[in-house]
Amino acid sequence: MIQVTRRWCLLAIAGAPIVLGITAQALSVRVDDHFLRVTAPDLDFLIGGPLERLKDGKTVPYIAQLSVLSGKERILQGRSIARFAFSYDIWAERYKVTLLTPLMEHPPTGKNLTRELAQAWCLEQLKIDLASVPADKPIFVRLEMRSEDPKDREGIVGQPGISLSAMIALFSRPVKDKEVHAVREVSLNLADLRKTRL
Amino acid sequence: MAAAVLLTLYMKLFGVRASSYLAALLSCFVATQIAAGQGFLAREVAAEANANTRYIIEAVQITGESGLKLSRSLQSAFQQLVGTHFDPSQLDQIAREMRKELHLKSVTPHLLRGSQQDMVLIDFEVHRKSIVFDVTLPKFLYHSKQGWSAEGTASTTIARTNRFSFGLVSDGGTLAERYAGSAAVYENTHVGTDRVHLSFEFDQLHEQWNRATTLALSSNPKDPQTYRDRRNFQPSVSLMLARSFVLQAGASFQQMQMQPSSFFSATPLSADRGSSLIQAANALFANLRFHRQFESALQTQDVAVDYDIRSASHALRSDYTYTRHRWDAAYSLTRGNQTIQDDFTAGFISGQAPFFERFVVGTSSLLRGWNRFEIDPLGGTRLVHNSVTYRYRLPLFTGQVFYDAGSLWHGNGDSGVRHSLGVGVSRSIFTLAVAFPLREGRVDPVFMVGMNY
Repeated sequence: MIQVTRRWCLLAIAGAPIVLGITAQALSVRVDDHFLRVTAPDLDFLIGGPLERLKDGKTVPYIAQLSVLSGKERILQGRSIARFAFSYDIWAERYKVTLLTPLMEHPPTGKNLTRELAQAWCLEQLKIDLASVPADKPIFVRLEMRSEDPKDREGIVGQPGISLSAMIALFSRPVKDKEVHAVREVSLNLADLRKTRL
Repeated sequence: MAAAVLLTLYMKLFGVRASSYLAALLSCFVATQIAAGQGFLAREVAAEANANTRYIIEAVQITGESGLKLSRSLQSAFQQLVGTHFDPSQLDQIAREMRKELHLKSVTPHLLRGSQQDMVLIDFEVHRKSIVFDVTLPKFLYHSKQGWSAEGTASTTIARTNRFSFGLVSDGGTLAERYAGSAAVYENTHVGTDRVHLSFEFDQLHEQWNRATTLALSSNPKDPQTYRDRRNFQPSVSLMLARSFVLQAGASFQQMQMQPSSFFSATPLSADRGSSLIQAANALFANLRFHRQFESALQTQDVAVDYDIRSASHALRSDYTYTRHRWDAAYSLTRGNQTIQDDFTAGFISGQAPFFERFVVGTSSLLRGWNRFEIDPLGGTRLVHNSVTYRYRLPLFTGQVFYDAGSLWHGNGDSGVRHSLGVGVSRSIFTLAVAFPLREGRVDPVFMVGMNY
């Protein structure tokens, strides 16, 4: 039986946030054919101001960025950026997500989704070609999900199509009040990931 | 567009040939159109992405604040929403317009479930600013015979109901004299109820007299004296009697600094008036306004009637004793792009009134085209005027033709009926007009350009 001493209590209290933090940062990475994909079951980005806007019947855009970095300097090896339009059906109480792309007449859309499924559907659209990922050294896989402030939309959509540079620049800006910027990151080795898959 | 302008500037500076310039301009235009087209596509996708666009709007409501006065265009936009499919971008546009027009702190459109499946309600949640600061230019006019007239006002509203405003004015076209000065007003827009307003106004004005007026005055010693400064303190209360009726009543305490040079006139007002440098024109006044709009699918009719009475007596410690009546009636009918409007004005003064109460024609709104100093440089005590205006709305501007007829006289005289014709163009509140007096001899047109005149 473990003896609960004063020192043990202090260590438990001090260590709790670290353990919780690691749990909260969980990001599952998998190899799917020639692509690297992620899932984040605990990631809930439909919250705060964007959720309020959704419940008001608005279309709320989110920008997602999945990136692979390597080395101490965190050199970018590969990136996948996508813009999504969320809406909430006030009668069906379900979400609809559309991958916004100017190149497709009928963009991929997820309909009648619960909150969890809508968020998972988004992450499913992000993938990085394995050819751009170094196989022999540790990498960092980073997922960023950011709600788009209605005032930022002009700069992104106003240019011909959707401006990729404006979307990248958006991630470097500070997050405005009530906006959501969720980040998950995990360190791994592609070779180990492939072994796990086998 | 900005790209085209910059390119134009660049080519002008570096002397690029005209053909290259035209080709570049054309390519800029095409690029702009393509960009606009793609922007439109993006908006379309955004609208399609919304799960609620299949629902029909059942009703539109405003919550959060009361007593908001919606403009005709906003009311029409609300009406057009009902029965259509929900479109989030359309709501954002209306919310922006509401915020701008009504000077609101925030307008948030909410989507609510309707009374039955597939129907939705739009709720605009609005919040007023606790302190509103506004600067307006109610009048700005250049008249080729009378020069510039302008009025600017800065106002602030504190705690929703307390409005303080300060204005500067220089007006050479409304009264017999040109006046310039300042006005400070406090208004409480909720005295127990939104239907009762209380206001206190203080004006400090300096007057300038036209040479024609001073010359006419020297040959008419019975007319009132000229003054160089005027102060006015005016408390009043306004009652919204019904949706279309407003009654305003109050008192006006005017103090005039008389011009010493005009002391030769022997006015039979009071025994010591001839030697007094300060004179008072204290009056009680009342004003009843009616304004109503009748809209149907084909046409819109607008009716406005205004009656104003001011009465000064010795009981109010006034040096002048008089009663002034003024009637204004306006009717307009709009059908499609065409509008026909009739404005009628009549006035009557009994007793001896100071110059600022007298009627004047040959201004920017009455007998346009005539020179008012030619008609009567001292102003009149009787007035009848009618104006008919026809407007045709074109895509870029509105064209107008007007015909004015009127007469100004004193109790014992008759100045005859005068006529004038004019044409003009207007866009929004800006108008450019030229008017001609209809008379024998030379044609001497008057040009007017400005806003809200």
